[in-house]
Amino acid sequence: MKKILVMLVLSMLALSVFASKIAIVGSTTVLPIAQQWAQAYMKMNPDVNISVVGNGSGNGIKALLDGVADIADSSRWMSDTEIKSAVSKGLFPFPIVVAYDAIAPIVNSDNPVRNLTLDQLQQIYSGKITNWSQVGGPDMPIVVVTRDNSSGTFEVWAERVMRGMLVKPEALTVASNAEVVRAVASNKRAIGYVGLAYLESGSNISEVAISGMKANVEAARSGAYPLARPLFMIVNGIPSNQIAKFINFGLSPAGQKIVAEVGFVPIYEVK
Amino acid sequence: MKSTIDRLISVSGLTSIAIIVAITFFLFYNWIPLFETVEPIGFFFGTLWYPTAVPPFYGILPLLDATVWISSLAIFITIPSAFVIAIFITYIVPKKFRYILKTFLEIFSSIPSVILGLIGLSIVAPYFQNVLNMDTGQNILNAAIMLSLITIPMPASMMEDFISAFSPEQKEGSQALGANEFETLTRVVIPGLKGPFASITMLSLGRIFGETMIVLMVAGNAAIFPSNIFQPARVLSSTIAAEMGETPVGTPHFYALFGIGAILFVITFLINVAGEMIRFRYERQMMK
Repeated sequence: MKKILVMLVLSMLALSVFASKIAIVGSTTVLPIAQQWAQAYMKMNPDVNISVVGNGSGNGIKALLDGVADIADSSRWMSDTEIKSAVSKGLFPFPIVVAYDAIAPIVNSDNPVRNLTLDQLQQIYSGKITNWSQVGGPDMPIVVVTRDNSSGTFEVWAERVMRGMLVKPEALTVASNAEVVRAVASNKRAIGYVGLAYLESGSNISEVAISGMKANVEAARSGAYPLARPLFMIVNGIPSNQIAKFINFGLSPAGQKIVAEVGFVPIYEVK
Repeated sequence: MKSTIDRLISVSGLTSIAIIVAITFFLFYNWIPLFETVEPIGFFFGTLWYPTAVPPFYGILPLLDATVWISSLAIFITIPSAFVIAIFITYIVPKKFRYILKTFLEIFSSIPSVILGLIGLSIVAPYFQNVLNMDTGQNILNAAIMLSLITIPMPASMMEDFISAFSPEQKEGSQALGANEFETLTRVVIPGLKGPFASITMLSLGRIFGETMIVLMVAGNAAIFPSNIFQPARVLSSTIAAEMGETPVGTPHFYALFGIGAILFVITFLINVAGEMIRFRYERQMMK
Protein backbone atom coordinates (compact mmCIF):
# COMPACT_ATOMS: atom_id res chain seq x y z
CA MET A 1 0.00 0.00 0.00
CA LYS A 2 2.73 2.38 1.04
CA LYS A 3 4.70 1.51 -2.06
CA ILE A 4 1.79 2.32 -4.29
CA LEU A 5 1.33 5.65 -2.57
CA VAL A 6 4.99 6.54 -2.90
CA MET A 7 4.86 5.57 -6.57
CA LEU A 8 1.80 7.70 -7.08
CA VAL A 9 3.34 10.75 -5.45
CA LEU A 10 6.55 10.26 -7.38
CA SER A 11 4.78 9.88 -10.70
CA MET A 12 2.70 12.98 -10.00
CA LEU A 13 5.87 14.89 -9.17
CA ALA A 14 7.45 13.64 -12.37
CA LEU A 15 4.39 14.69 -14.35
CA SER A 16 4.40 18.15 -12.85
CA VAL A 17 8.07 18.52 -13.72
CA PHE A 18 7.66 17.46 -17.32
CA ALA A 19 4.24 19.00 -17.97
CA SER A 20 4.34 22.23 -19.93
CA LYS A 21 2.52 25.13 -18.41
CA ILE A 22 0.83 27.93 -20.29
CA ALA A 23 -0.51 30.91 -18.37
CA ILE A 24 -3.19 32.92 -20.14
CA VAL A 25 -4.24 36.22 -18.57
CA GLY A 26 -6.40 39.09 -19.77
CA SER A 27 -9.64 40.26 -21.30
CA THR A 28 -12.91 38.96 -19.92
CA THR A 29 -14.37 39.23 -23.43
CA VAL A 30 -11.82 36.74 -24.76
CA LEU A 31 -12.09 34.63 -21.59
CA PRO A 32 -14.77 32.18 -22.86
CA ILE A 33 -12.73 31.52 -26.01
CA ALA A 34 -9.51 30.98 -24.05
CA GLN A 35 -11.25 28.71 -21.56
CA GLN A 36 -12.88 26.50 -24.18
CA TRP A 37 -9.68 26.30 -26.23
CA ALA A 38 -7.70 25.40 -23.11
CA GLN A 39 -10.17 22.68 -22.15
CA ALA A 40 -10.22 21.14 -25.61
CA TYR A 41 -6.43 21.40 -25.94
CA MET A 42 -5.72 19.85 -22.55
CA LYS A 43 -8.03 16.95 -23.39
CA MET A 44 -5.92 16.21 -26.48
CA ASN A 45 -2.60 16.90 -24.70
CA PRO A 46 -2.87 15.71 -21.09
CA ASP A 47 0.75 16.68 -20.42
CA VAL A 48 0.01 20.37 -20.95
CA ASN A 49 -1.36 22.45 -18.12
CA ILE A 50 -3.09 25.68 -19.13
CA SER A 51 -4.31 28.22 -16.61
CA VAL A 52 -6.75 30.89 -17.77
CA VAL A 53 -7.49 34.09 -15.86
CA GLY A 54 -9.88 36.83 -16.96
CA ASN A 55 -9.05 40.15 -15.32
CA GLY A 56 -9.15 42.69 -18.12
CA SER A 57 -7.05 43.41 -21.20
CA GLY A 58 -4.83 45.90 -19.39
CA ASN A 59 -3.94 43.43 -16.66
CA GLY A 60 -3.26 40.74 -19.25
CA ILE A 61 -0.83 42.87 -21.23
CA LYS A 62 0.84 44.00 -18.01
CA ALA A 63 1.26 40.36 -16.94
CA LEU A 64 2.74 39.49 -20.34
CA LEU A 65 5.25 42.33 -20.18
CA ASP A 66 6.14 41.39 -16.59
CA GLY A 67 6.82 37.83 -17.71
CA VAL A 68 4.04 36.41 -15.50
CA ALA A 69 1.82 35.36 -18.41
CA ASP A 70 2.67 33.49 -21.63
CA ILE A 71 -0.37 34.76 -23.50
CA ALA A 72 -2.27 38.01 -22.95
CA ASP A 73 -5.93 38.06 -24.02
CA SER A 74 -6.89 41.49 -25.25
CA SER A 75 -10.09 42.95 -26.65
CA ARG A 76 -8.21 46.01 -27.89
CA TRP A 77 -4.98 47.01 -29.58
CA MET A 78 -2.01 47.74 -27.32
CA SER A 79 -1.86 51.31 -26.04
CA ASP A 80 1.13 53.51 -26.76
CA THR A 81 2.31 53.33 -23.14
CA GLU A 82 2.17 49.54 -23.29
CA ILE A 83 4.19 49.46 -26.51
CA LYS A 84 6.74 51.88 -25.00
CA SER A 85 7.00 49.72 -21.91
CA ALA A 86 7.56 46.62 -24.09
CA VAL A 87 10.22 48.31 -26.16
CA SER A 88 12.05 49.59 -23.10
CA LYS A 89 12.14 46.03 -21.72
CA GLY A 90 13.52 44.73 -25.01
CA LEU A 91 10.39 42.67 -25.65
CA PHE A 92 8.66 42.06 -28.96
CA PRO A 93 4.93 41.68 -28.36
CA PHE A 94 3.32 39.65 -31.12
CA PRO A 95 -0.47 40.12 -31.47
CA ILE A 96 -2.58 37.44 -33.14
CA VAL A 97 -6.20 37.98 -34.14
CA VAL A 98 -8.13 34.98 -32.79
CA ALA A 99 -11.74 36.03 -33.44
CA TYR A 100 -14.02 38.99 -34.14
CA ASP A 101 -16.60 40.44 -31.83
CA ALA A 102 -19.66 42.08 -33.42
CA ILE A 103 -22.69 43.56 -31.70
CA ALA A 104 -25.98 44.73 -33.14
CA PRO A 105 -28.71 47.10 -31.91
CA ILE A 106 -32.13 45.47 -31.52
CA VAL A 107 -35.71 46.68 -31.04
CA ASN A 108 -39.00 44.94 -30.32
CA SER A 109 -40.54 43.47 -33.50
CA ASP A 110 -43.67 45.60 -32.99
CA ASN A 111 -41.53 48.69 -33.45
CA PRO A 112 -41.24 49.56 -37.18
CA VAL A 113 -37.83 51.28 -36.83
CA ARG A 114 -35.23 49.13 -38.61
CA ASN A 115 -32.51 51.62 -39.42
CA LEU A 116 -30.58 54.19 -37.35
CA THR A 117 -27.33 56.07 -37.74
CA LEU A 118 -24.50 55.89 -35.22
CA ASP A 119 -25.27 59.49 -34.25
CA GLN A 120 -28.93 58.70 -33.64
CA LEU A 121 -27.92 55.73 -31.48
CA GLN A 122 -25.54 57.95 -29.55
CA GLN A 123 -28.28 60.52 -28.97
CA ILE A 124 -30.83 57.88 -27.94
CA TYR A 125 -28.41 56.36 -25.45
CA SER A 126 -27.22 59.70 -24.07
CA GLY A 127 -30.80 60.89 -23.62
CA LYS A 128 -31.02 63.61 -26.32
CA ILE A 129 -33.59 61.63 -28.30
CA THR A 130 -36.31 60.29 -26.02
CA ASN A 131 -39.23 59.48 -28.32
CA TRP A 132 -39.41 57.02 -31.21
CA SER A 133 -41.20 59.66 -33.33
CA GLN A 134 -37.92 61.62 -33.43
CA VAL A 135 -36.33 58.82 -35.45
CA GLY A 136 -39.26 57.95 -37.69
CA GLY A 137 -41.10 55.58 -35.38
CA PRO A 138 -44.46 55.78 -33.57
CA ASP A 139 -45.09 58.36 -30.85
CA MET A 140 -43.93 56.52 -27.73
CA PRO A 141 -41.08 57.02 -25.27
CA ILE A 142 -37.82 55.18 -25.85
CA VAL A 143 -36.78 52.75 -23.12
CA VAL A 144 -33.02 52.30 -23.29
CA VAL A 145 -31.57 48.94 -22.27
CA THR A 146 -27.83 48.72 -21.68
CA ARG A 147 -25.29 46.28 -20.27
CA ASP A 148 -23.49 46.49 -16.94
CA ASN A 149 -20.58 48.84 -17.40
CA SER A 150 -17.82 46.30 -16.88
CA SER A 151 -18.90 43.96 -19.69
CA GLY A 152 -16.95 43.66 -22.92
CA THR A 153 -20.10 44.27 -24.95
CA PHE A 154 -20.63 47.58 -23.17
CA GLU A 155 -16.99 48.40 -23.88
CA VAL A 156 -17.58 48.21 -27.66
CA TRP A 157 -20.80 50.21 -27.35
CA ALA A 158 -19.07 52.90 -25.26
CA GLU A 159 -16.14 53.08 -27.66
CA ARG A 160 -17.96 52.99 -31.01
CA VAL A 161 -21.40 54.47 -30.28
CA MET A 162 -21.09 56.68 -27.23
CA ARG A 163 -17.67 58.03 -28.24
CA GLY A 164 -16.99 59.77 -24.94
CA MET A 165 -20.60 60.53 -24.00
CA LEU A 166 -22.23 58.88 -20.99
CA VAL A 167 -25.15 56.45 -21.32
CA LYS A 168 -28.06 58.21 -19.62
CA PRO A 169 -28.48 57.05 -16.03
CA GLU A 170 -32.16 56.19 -16.61
CA ALA A 171 -31.14 53.30 -18.87
CA LEU A 172 -32.22 49.83 -17.72
CA THR A 173 -29.05 47.91 -16.96
CA VAL A 174 -28.97 44.13 -17.28
CA ALA A 175 -26.19 41.63 -16.72
CA SER A 176 -26.18 39.45 -19.85
CA ASN A 177 -26.94 39.29 -23.57
CA ALA A 178 -29.85 36.96 -22.86
CA GLU A 179 -31.40 39.46 -20.48
CA VAL A 180 -31.15 42.23 -23.07
CA VAL A 181 -33.04 40.01 -25.50
CA ARG A 182 -35.67 39.28 -22.87
CA ALA A 183 -36.10 42.95 -21.89
CA VAL A 184 -36.46 44.09 -25.51
CA ALA A 185 -38.65 41.18 -26.60
CA SER A 186 -41.18 41.98 -23.86
CA ASN A 187 -41.26 45.77 -24.24
CA LYS A 188 -42.32 47.47 -27.48
CA ARG A 189 -40.67 50.76 -26.40
CA ALA A 190 -37.25 49.23 -25.77
CA ILE A 191 -33.95 49.35 -27.61
CA GLY A 192 -30.90 47.27 -26.71
CA TYR A 193 -27.73 45.77 -28.16
CA VAL A 194 -26.43 42.19 -28.19
CA GLY A 195 -23.60 40.06 -29.51
CA LEU A 196 -24.14 38.76 -33.04
CA ALA A 197 -24.82 35.23 -31.80
CA TYR A 198 -27.85 36.40 -29.84
CA LEU A 199 -29.70 37.94 -32.78
CA GLU A 200 -31.45 34.68 -33.56
CA SER A 201 -32.17 33.77 -29.95
CA GLY A 202 -35.25 35.89 -29.32
CA SER A 203 -38.54 35.45 -31.12
CA ASN A 204 -39.83 38.99 -30.74
CA ILE A 205 -36.74 41.08 -31.51
CA SER A 206 -35.58 42.72 -34.75
CA GLU A 207 -32.13 43.87 -35.70
CA VAL A 208 -31.61 47.57 -36.43
CA ALA A 209 -29.26 48.29 -39.32
CA ILE A 210 -26.64 50.99 -38.85
CA SER A 211 -26.95 53.44 -41.75
CA GLY A 212 -28.36 50.61 -43.83
CA MET A 213 -25.74 48.05 -42.86
CA LYS A 214 -26.74 44.91 -41.00
CA ALA A 215 -24.35 42.96 -38.84
CA ASN A 216 -22.99 39.85 -40.54
CA VAL A 217 -19.85 37.81 -40.31
CA GLU A 218 -18.30 39.09 -43.58
CA ALA A 219 -18.77 42.72 -42.63
CA ALA A 220 -17.43 41.99 -39.15
CA ARG A 221 -14.31 40.36 -40.59
CA SER A 222 -13.64 43.06 -43.16
CA GLY A 223 -14.15 45.85 -40.64
CA ALA A 224 -16.94 47.38 -42.75
CA TYR A 225 -19.46 46.88 -39.95
CA PRO A 226 -18.92 49.72 -37.43
CA LEU A 227 -19.68 47.72 -34.29
CA ALA A 228 -17.11 44.97 -34.82
CA ARG A 229 -13.62 44.59 -33.45
CA PRO A 230 -10.85 42.02 -33.56
CA LEU A 231 -9.95 40.07 -30.43
CA PHE A 232 -6.28 39.36 -29.80
CA MET A 233 -4.00 36.95 -28.07
CA ILE A 234 -0.64 38.62 -27.60
CA VAL A 235 2.54 36.61 -27.04
CA ASN A 236 6.18 37.52 -26.42
CA GLY A 237 7.96 37.22 -29.76
CA ILE A 238 7.05 34.75 -32.48
CA PRO A 239 5.52 31.81 -30.60
CA SER A 240 7.26 28.47 -30.41
CA ASN A 241 6.78 25.04 -28.83
CA GLN A 242 3.58 24.51 -26.80
CA ILE A 243 2.41 28.12 -27.15
CA ALA A 244 2.68 27.93 -30.94
CA LYS A 245 0.86 24.59 -30.92
CA PHE A 246 -1.88 25.97 -28.70
CA ILE A 247 -2.41 29.08 -30.85
CA ASN A 248 -2.33 26.89 -33.94
CA PHE A 249 -5.06 24.72 -32.46
CA GLY A 250 -7.12 27.85 -31.79
CA LEU A 251 -6.77 29.03 -35.36
CA SER A 252 -7.56 25.58 -36.78
CA PRO A 253 -11.13 24.74 -37.88
CA ALA A 254 -11.69 22.96 -34.55
CA GLY A 255 -10.66 26.05 -32.58
CA GLN A 256 -12.63 28.41 -34.78
CA LYS A 257 -15.70 26.24 -34.37
CA ILE A 258 -15.37 26.83 -30.63
CA VAL A 259 -15.18 30.59 -31.35
CA ALA A 260 -18.54 30.40 -33.12
CA GLU A 261 -20.00 28.25 -30.34
CA VAL A 262 -19.20 30.78 -27.62
CA GLY A 263 -20.84 33.57 -29.63
CA PHE A 264 -18.07 35.27 -31.59
CA VAL A 265 -17.24 35.59 -35.27
CA PRO A 266 -14.58 33.10 -36.47
CA ILE A 267 -11.74 34.54 -38.54
CA TYR A 268 -12.78 32.37 -41.48
CA GLU A 269 -15.85 30.37 -42.47
CA VAL A 270 -16.13 27.09 -40.55
CA LYS A 271 -18.63 24.40 -41.30
CA MET B 1 -16.92 13.27 27.50
CA LYS B 2 -18.87 16.35 28.41
CA SER B 3 -15.77 18.50 28.40
CA THR B 4 -14.91 17.32 24.86
CA ILE B 5 -18.34 18.35 23.62
CA ASP B 6 -18.05 21.62 25.49
CA ARG B 7 -14.72 22.29 23.90
CA LEU B 8 -16.00 21.40 20.43
CA ILE B 9 -18.93 23.75 20.82
CA SER B 10 -16.82 26.61 22.08
CA VAL B 11 -14.26 26.08 19.29
CA SER B 12 -16.92 26.17 16.59
CA GLY B 13 -18.55 29.19 18.23
CA LEU B 14 -15.27 31.06 18.39
CA THR B 15 -14.44 30.06 14.80
CA SER B 16 -17.66 31.50 13.47
CA ILE B 17 -17.08 34.73 15.40
CA ALA B 18 -13.53 34.86 14.06
CA ILE B 19 -14.79 34.36 10.50
CA ILE B 20 -17.29 37.21 10.86
CA VAL B 21 -14.57 39.49 12.22
CA ALA B 22 -12.31 38.44 9.34
CA ILE B 23 -15.01 39.17 6.75
CA THR B 24 -15.59 42.61 8.25
CA PHE B 25 -11.88 43.32 8.27
CA PHE B 26 -11.59 42.09 4.66
CA LEU B 27 -14.42 44.38 3.49
CA PHE B 28 -12.85 47.47 5.02
CA TYR B 29 -9.33 46.46 4.05
CA ASN B 30 -10.38 46.35 0.38
CA TRP B 31 -12.30 49.60 0.65
CA ILE B 32 -9.64 51.92 2.11
CA PRO B 33 -7.35 52.00 -1.02
CA LEU B 34 -10.24 53.62 -2.93
CA PHE B 35 -9.54 56.89 -1.18
CA GLU B 36 -6.05 57.06 -2.65
CA THR B 37 -7.66 57.99 -5.95
CA VAL B 38 -11.23 59.05 -5.11
CA GLU B 39 -12.30 61.82 -2.75
CA PRO B 40 -14.51 60.51 0.09
CA ILE B 41 -17.04 63.24 -0.73
CA GLY B 42 -17.22 62.03 -4.33
CA PHE B 43 -17.90 58.49 -3.11
CA PHE B 44 -20.47 59.19 -0.37
CA PHE B 45 -22.21 62.18 -1.93
CA GLY B 46 -21.49 61.82 -5.65
CA THR B 47 -24.66 61.69 -7.72
CA LEU B 48 -23.28 59.73 -10.69
CA TRP B 49 -22.31 56.06 -10.79
CA TYR B 50 -20.16 55.60 -13.92
CA PRO B 51 -17.29 53.44 -12.67
CA THR B 52 -15.87 52.64 -16.11
CA ALA B 53 -16.31 56.01 -17.83
CA VAL B 54 -13.36 58.26 -18.59
CA PRO B 55 -13.11 60.02 -16.15
CA PRO B 56 -14.95 57.64 -13.82
CA PHE B 57 -17.61 58.64 -11.28
CA TYR B 58 -18.04 56.57 -8.12
CA GLY B 59 -20.99 58.33 -6.46
CA ILE B 60 -23.12 55.92 -4.42
CA LEU B 61 -25.83 58.40 -3.42
CA PRO B 62 -28.29 57.25 -6.14
CA LEU B 63 -27.71 53.62 -5.09
CA LEU B 64 -28.40 54.45 -1.43
CA ASP B 65 -31.48 56.44 -2.40
CA ALA B 66 -32.85 53.57 -4.49
CA THR B 67 -32.15 51.11 -1.68
CA VAL B 68 -34.22 53.28 0.69
CA TRP B 69 -37.08 53.55 -1.86
CA ILE B 70 -37.32 49.84 -2.57
CA SER B 71 -36.81 48.72 1.04
CA SER B 72 -39.38 51.10 2.49
CA LEU B 73 -42.00 50.21 -0.13
CA ALA B 74 -41.32 46.51 0.41
CA ILE B 75 -41.58 46.78 4.21
CA PHE B 76 -44.75 48.87 3.75
CA ILE B 77 -46.31 45.96 1.87
CA THR B 78 -44.75 43.18 3.96
CA ILE B 79 -45.64 44.06 7.56
CA PRO B 80 -49.41 44.72 7.15
CA SER B 81 -49.79 41.64 4.93
CA ALA B 82 -47.86 39.50 7.40
CA PHE B 83 -50.06 40.82 10.21
CA VAL B 84 -53.27 40.00 8.36
CA ILE B 85 -51.98 36.49 7.61
CA ALA B 86 -51.00 35.97 11.26
CA ILE B 87 -54.48 37.07 12.46
CA PHE B 88 -56.08 34.86 9.83
CA ILE B 89 -54.13 31.81 10.96
CA THR B 90 -54.69 32.37 14.69
CA TYR B 91 -58.35 33.36 14.71
CA ILE B 92 -60.09 32.29 11.54
CA VAL B 93 -58.50 29.08 10.28
CA PRO B 94 -59.86 25.95 12.03
CA LYS B 95 -57.31 24.43 14.39
CA LYS B 96 -56.66 21.31 12.31
CA PHE B 97 -55.62 23.36 9.22
CA ARG B 98 -53.49 25.75 11.22
CA TYR B 99 -50.49 23.47 11.35
CA ILE B 100 -50.69 22.69 7.60
CA LEU B 101 -50.96 26.37 6.73
CA LYS B 102 -47.98 27.31 8.89
CA THR B 103 -45.86 24.57 7.37
CA PHE B 104 -46.87 25.75 3.92
CA LEU B 105 -45.90 29.31 4.87
CA GLU B 106 -42.50 28.19 6.07
CA ILE B 107 -41.92 26.20 2.90
CA PHE B 108 -42.81 29.25 0.84
CA SER B 109 -40.15 31.32 2.58
CA SER B 110 -37.49 28.86 1.43
CA ILE B 111 -38.21 29.28 -2.29
CA PRO B 112 -34.99 30.47 -3.95
CA SER B 113 -35.23 34.19 -4.64
CA VAL B 114 -34.13 33.68 -8.25
CA ILE B 115 -37.50 31.96 -8.88
CA LEU B 116 -39.38 35.02 -7.67
CA GLY B 117 -37.09 37.18 -9.77
CA LEU B 118 -37.99 35.10 -12.80
CA ILE B 119 -41.71 35.46 -12.06
CA GLY B 120 -41.26 39.21 -11.68
CA LEU B 121 -39.42 39.35 -14.97
CA SER B 122 -41.60 37.09 -17.08
CA ILE B 123 -45.09 37.71 -15.64
CA VAL B 124 -45.25 40.93 -13.64
CA ALA B 125 -43.01 43.10 -15.84
CA PRO B 126 -44.84 42.32 -19.15
CA TYR B 127 -48.16 42.85 -17.32
CA PHE B 128 -47.04 46.28 -16.12
CA GLN B 129 -45.90 47.17 -19.64
CA ASN B 130 -48.71 45.79 -21.76
CA VAL B 131 -51.77 46.06 -19.54
CA LEU B 132 -50.94 48.99 -17.26
CA ASN B 133 -49.00 50.71 -20.05
CA MET B 134 -45.93 51.58 -17.97
CA ASP B 135 -42.75 52.51 -19.83
CA THR B 136 -40.98 49.61 -18.19
CA GLY B 137 -42.15 46.86 -15.88
CA GLN B 138 -38.67 46.53 -14.40
CA ASN B 139 -39.16 49.11 -11.70
CA ILE B 140 -39.34 49.86 -7.98
CA LEU B 141 -42.92 48.61 -7.61
CA ASN B 142 -42.16 45.26 -9.22
CA ALA B 143 -39.05 44.77 -7.08
CA ALA B 144 -40.90 45.74 -3.89
CA ILE B 145 -43.77 43.33 -4.61
CA MET B 146 -41.40 40.45 -5.31
CA LEU B 147 -39.31 41.26 -2.23
CA SER B 148 -42.46 41.33 -0.09
CA LEU B 149 -43.60 37.97 -1.44
CA ILE B 150 -40.38 36.31 -0.37
CA THR B 151 -40.21 38.13 2.98
CA ILE B 152 -43.84 37.89 4.21
CA PRO B 153 -43.76 34.24 5.43
CA MET B 154 -41.03 34.93 8.00
CA PRO B 155 -42.73 37.82 9.87
CA ALA B 156 -46.18 36.20 9.42
CA SER B 157 -45.04 33.00 11.07
CA MET B 158 -43.26 34.87 13.88
CA MET B 159 -46.26 37.12 14.53
CA GLU B 160 -48.53 34.10 14.67
CA ASP B 161 -46.24 32.54 17.29
CA PHE B 162 -46.44 35.66 19.42
CA ILE B 163 -50.20 36.13 19.07
CA SER B 164 -51.10 32.53 19.91
CA ALA B 165 -48.59 32.41 22.78
CA PHE B 166 -49.87 35.67 24.24
CA SER B 167 -50.50 35.45 27.98
CA PRO B 168 -53.74 33.48 28.46
CA GLU B 169 -54.29 35.18 31.84
CA GLN B 170 -54.52 38.59 30.22
CA LYS B 171 -56.75 37.32 27.42
CA GLU B 172 -59.09 35.59 29.85
CA GLY B 173 -59.03 38.63 32.11
CA SER B 174 -60.08 40.81 29.22
CA GLN B 175 -62.88 38.46 28.28
CA ALA B 176 -64.00 38.25 31.91
CA LEU B 177 -64.42 42.02 31.82
CA GLY B 178 -66.87 41.59 28.93
CA ALA B 179 -64.66 42.24 25.90
CA ASN B 180 -65.31 40.07 22.86
CA GLU B 181 -62.50 38.37 20.93
CA PHE B 182 -62.01 41.28 18.51
CA GLU B 183 -61.84 43.81 21.33
CA THR B 184 -59.38 41.60 23.20
CA LEU B 185 -57.20 41.44 20.07
CA THR B 186 -57.17 45.17 19.37
CA ARG B 187 -57.15 46.47 22.96
CA VAL B 188 -55.05 43.87 24.78
CA VAL B 189 -53.07 41.58 22.51
CA ILE B 190 -51.77 44.04 19.90
CA PRO B 191 -50.73 46.75 22.37
CA GLY B 192 -49.01 44.05 24.41
CA LEU B 193 -47.06 42.86 21.38
CA LYS B 194 -45.74 46.24 20.19
CA GLY B 195 -42.19 45.29 21.17
CA PRO B 196 -41.96 41.98 19.35
CA PHE B 197 -43.72 43.42 16.28
CA ALA B 198 -41.20 46.26 16.07
CA SER B 199 -38.40 43.77 16.39
CA ILE B 200 -39.93 41.55 13.66
CA THR B 201 -40.20 44.61 11.41
CA MET B 202 -36.50 45.34 11.85
CA LEU B 203 -35.56 41.73 11.10
CA SER B 204 -37.68 41.77 7.93
CA LEU B 205 -36.06 45.04 6.91
CA GLY B 206 -32.64 43.46 7.32
CA ARG B 207 -33.71 40.59 5.08
CA ILE B 208 -35.08 42.95 2.41
CA PHE B 209 -32.01 45.15 2.51
CA GLY B 210 -29.56 42.41 1.70
CA GLU B 211 -31.66 40.58 -0.89
CA THR B 212 -29.79 40.82 -4.17
CA MET B 213 -31.05 38.47 -6.84
CA ILE B 214 -34.66 39.69 -7.06
CA VAL B 215 -33.69 43.34 -7.23
CA LEU B 216 -30.95 42.67 -9.75
CA MET B 217 -33.46 40.90 -11.98
CA VAL B 218 -36.53 43.11 -11.75
CA ALA B 219 -35.58 46.60 -10.54
CA GLY B 220 -34.08 47.74 -13.86
CA ASN B 221 -30.77 48.85 -12.30
CA ALA B 222 -30.80 52.45 -13.51
CA ALA B 223 -28.58 54.53 -11.22
CA ILE B 224 -30.97 57.48 -10.87
CA PHE B 225 -32.77 59.28 -8.07
CA PRO B 226 -36.28 57.91 -8.64
CA SER B 227 -39.21 60.29 -8.33
CA ASN B 228 -41.97 57.66 -8.34
CA ILE B 229 -42.37 53.92 -7.88
CA PHE B 230 -42.81 53.24 -11.60
CA GLN B 231 -39.19 54.15 -12.37
CA PRO B 232 -36.29 51.73 -12.48
CA ALA B 233 -33.69 51.92 -9.71
CA ARG B 234 -30.36 50.41 -8.81
CA VAL B 235 -29.65 49.29 -5.26
CA LEU B 236 -26.35 48.73 -3.44
CA SER B 237 -26.41 44.94 -3.35
CA SER B 238 -27.23 44.33 -7.01
CA THR B 239 -24.50 46.74 -8.12
CA ILE B 240 -21.94 44.46 -6.51
CA ALA B 241 -23.53 41.39 -8.09
CA ALA B 242 -23.70 42.89 -11.58
CA GLU B 243 -20.19 44.33 -11.72
CA MET B 244 -17.83 42.40 -9.46
CA GLY B 245 -17.33 39.51 -11.87
CA GLU B 246 -15.69 41.53 -14.60
CA THR B 247 -13.98 44.22 -12.56
CA PRO B 248 -10.17 43.99 -12.64
CA VAL B 249 -8.72 43.34 -9.17
CA GLY B 250 -6.95 46.31 -7.62
CA THR B 251 -8.70 49.06 -9.57
CA PRO B 252 -10.63 51.91 -7.90
CA HIS B 253 -13.81 50.32 -9.29
CA PHE B 254 -12.97 47.10 -7.42
CA TYR B 255 -12.32 48.99 -4.18
CA ALA B 256 -15.53 50.99 -4.66
CA LEU B 257 -17.55 47.76 -4.91
CA PHE B 258 -15.99 46.60 -1.64
CA GLY B 259 -16.90 49.99 -0.18
CA ILE B 260 -20.51 49.36 -1.15
CA GLY B 261 -20.26 45.96 0.52
CA ALA B 262 -18.91 47.53 3.70
CA ILE B 263 -21.69 50.12 3.76
CA LEU B 264 -24.29 47.41 3.20
CA PHE B 265 -22.73 45.45 6.06
CA VAL B 266 -22.84 48.43 8.43
CA ILE B 267 -26.47 49.25 7.60
CA THR B 268 -27.65 45.64 7.95
CA PHE B 269 -25.69 45.35 11.20
CA LEU B 270 -27.33 48.50 12.61
CA ILE B 271 -30.82 47.31 11.59
CA ASN B 272 -30.28 43.96 13.30
CA VAL B 273 -28.84 45.59 16.42
CA ALA B 274 -31.88 47.87 16.58
CA GLY B 275 -34.18 44.83 16.24
CA GLU B 276 -32.31 42.96 18.99
CA MET B 277 -32.37 45.98 21.30
CA ILE B 278 -36.13 46.35 20.93
CA ARG B 279 -36.57 42.66 21.65
CA PHE B 280 -34.26 42.82 24.65
CA ARG B 281 -36.16 45.75 26.15
CA TYR B 282 -39.46 43.95 25.62
CA GLU B 283 -38.18 40.78 27.27
CA ARG B 284 -36.97 42.73 30.29
CA GLN B 285 -40.36 44.37 30.58
CA MET B 286 -42.01 40.94 30.52
CA MET B 287 -39.73 39.73 33.32
CA LYS B 288 -40.95 42.43 35.68
